[in-house]
Amino acid sequence: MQSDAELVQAVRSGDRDAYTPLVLRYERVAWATAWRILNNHHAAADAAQEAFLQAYRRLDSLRDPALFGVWLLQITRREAVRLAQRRRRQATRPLDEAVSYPSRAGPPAGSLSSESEALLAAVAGLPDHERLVVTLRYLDNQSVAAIAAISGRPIGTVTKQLSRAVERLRSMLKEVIS
Amino acid sequence: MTADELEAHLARLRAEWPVGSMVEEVMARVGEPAQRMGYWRGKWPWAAATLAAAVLIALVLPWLWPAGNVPSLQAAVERALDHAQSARLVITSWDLDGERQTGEIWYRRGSGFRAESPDEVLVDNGRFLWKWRPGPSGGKPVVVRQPGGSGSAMIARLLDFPATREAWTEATPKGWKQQRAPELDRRIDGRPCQAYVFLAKRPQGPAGTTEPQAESDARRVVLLLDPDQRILAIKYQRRVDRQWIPLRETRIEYDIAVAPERLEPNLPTGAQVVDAGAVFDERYPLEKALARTELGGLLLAVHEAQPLEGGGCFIVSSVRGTPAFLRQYPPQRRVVNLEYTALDVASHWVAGTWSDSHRVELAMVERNGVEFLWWLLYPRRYFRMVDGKRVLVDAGDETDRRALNSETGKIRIPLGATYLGKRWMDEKGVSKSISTWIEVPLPRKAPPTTLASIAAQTRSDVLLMRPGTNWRVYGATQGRPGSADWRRLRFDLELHTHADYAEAIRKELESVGSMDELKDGARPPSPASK
Repeated sequence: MQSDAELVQAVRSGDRDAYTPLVLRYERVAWATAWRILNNHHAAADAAQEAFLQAYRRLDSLRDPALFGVWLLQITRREAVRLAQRRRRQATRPLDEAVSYPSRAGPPAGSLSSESEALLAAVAGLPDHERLVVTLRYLDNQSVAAIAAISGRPIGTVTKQLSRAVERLRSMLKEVIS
Repeated sequence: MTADELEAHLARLRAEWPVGSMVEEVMARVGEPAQRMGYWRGKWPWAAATLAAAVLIALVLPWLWPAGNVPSLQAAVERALDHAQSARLVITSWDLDGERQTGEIWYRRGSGFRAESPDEVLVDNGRFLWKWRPGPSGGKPVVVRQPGGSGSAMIARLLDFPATREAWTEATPKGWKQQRAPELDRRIDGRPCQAYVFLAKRPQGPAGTTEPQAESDARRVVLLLDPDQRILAIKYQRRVDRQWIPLRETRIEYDIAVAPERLEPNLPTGAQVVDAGAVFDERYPLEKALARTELGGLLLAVHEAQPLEGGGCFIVSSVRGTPAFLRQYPPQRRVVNLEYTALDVASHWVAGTWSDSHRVELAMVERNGVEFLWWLLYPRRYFRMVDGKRVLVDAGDETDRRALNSETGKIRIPLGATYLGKRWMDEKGVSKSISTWIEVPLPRKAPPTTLASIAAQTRSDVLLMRPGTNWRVYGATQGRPGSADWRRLRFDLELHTHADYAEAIRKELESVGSMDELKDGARPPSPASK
């Protein structure tokens, strides 16, 4: 598995396709980061997508390619805040919220159970490094070794970050999910 | 929660992950040049010339949808309306039982529009927009007034499909592909129309894997365009048993006569007109509550209580701190998200299953420490399964249902609240609560309300009151009540309708009602067990 640093270098060298695994790797954590700020599935997807584009265009300015993930989350947060401000400025709500015509549509694809939503909120509220490892480990099903390879960190460091994150999540969720 | 349990929850979150992969969209766009303001600095004459050319093209080719630069569907409808003198749109949809319902929109350029559906009426004259719920409301009709806007843009938004939002907002919808479908060409009002299809592609699974798509999940949008490239019909369909069945169809007629009186507001008789910004305070004013009581520094009020067809009662209640309480215990601020900071005072505590009733929360809206709750007091109906059929069991003691007895002209409603904030927690982290009963007169001679009506009222109220608030709308339960996998689902107001919400409530009542089964000689609990 190629590390973030290797993929970033490949993109910088002109291999546009090398950006695909980076998007795959971080799309969930980027979305969760934006969702925490925007509290809206569609808007979070827009913000995350815009963040990936910004990151791609500004990849040359990234000093340490191994820190691509954390850097991306900073951009995502900025994009989400910008989008939230823009949404707030749109003072009147769209009318499609107020009128409706019956349909046979079933539950939306984006439905989350209340427990999952609470958990997502907790994951999104973790510090950047912990959110990254938790998302890669549990939401992308990557092994600890793979995460270590991706981030260029020792396995022990990743394990410690995961343990801390799990403890923090358990504490955050103690009263929400019982 | 153990670490294993947490991992199980995370696995469930992974399975329920609410959005698809964005890889395709991102990689399709990474090749585009950046379009930032900085890019135009020093180049504005060239930018202005390009813009002028674009405007010229737009004027020459006003309704060109499928060819050339593809705008979003929403933009295409908006543009077509902008170039018509008037239009009539008929929206037909089919509910869960296949029953057809129709809505209409009348539009005249420069004058506004009127949209009517069984759920809502909107009238816009460019200056103001009025909206209200037609039909009996169980009380004084409420009309909300807000600044008007561009009729064509609003109408285009009103046509949105719940499950195909991208098709309206994206030129190339995410996860959908567009294709010409000559086999669906047909004549509309004597004009030959060409068909185009937006077909849902197989959804992307995690990490770009493609998951098999269930046939019942297949959706498509069929557009029929006349020789002037105007959209005359929009069909939203679902595939069932190898056939495409209609979910919603919109027909658009352009340049037809629209009588001026159609665009007059003609508000319902005796309507209460409320400005949109004041809806939260004025929809259910405290001074007009049916009943209220003060307990532990909190004001508990019942604003509406309507007997429900088939038993039970629909209730709108509120909880807030008294002025003295708020002075003594200034509420703490809690950031909910960037757009909302809650004031922690107290929250309703009514939900749950008791010996006489199920108490089912439908929706909550909170602002500045004032919380409104829409909920149902639903009688328990104990039953046994005999030969696969439900047989009701006489509970034996009717006093158990006194709370729901409407013959007295009054109803007793249990109200409770939990104080919010750490100062109200004991050493075990349990928050202090209060509870009481409040007696409320029932509306005189009013027929019992229906699930459809309370769903519409609840959803409408939340849609009107939610700007700038913390709000929740609950839908159907998932799993068996009381079981480990039981949970309530949040209801997405944008993606559903009043009818969908009524169905979700019905399912929830059915679900909680399953708890009333008595097994192996068990007797219904006595009132003392309350």
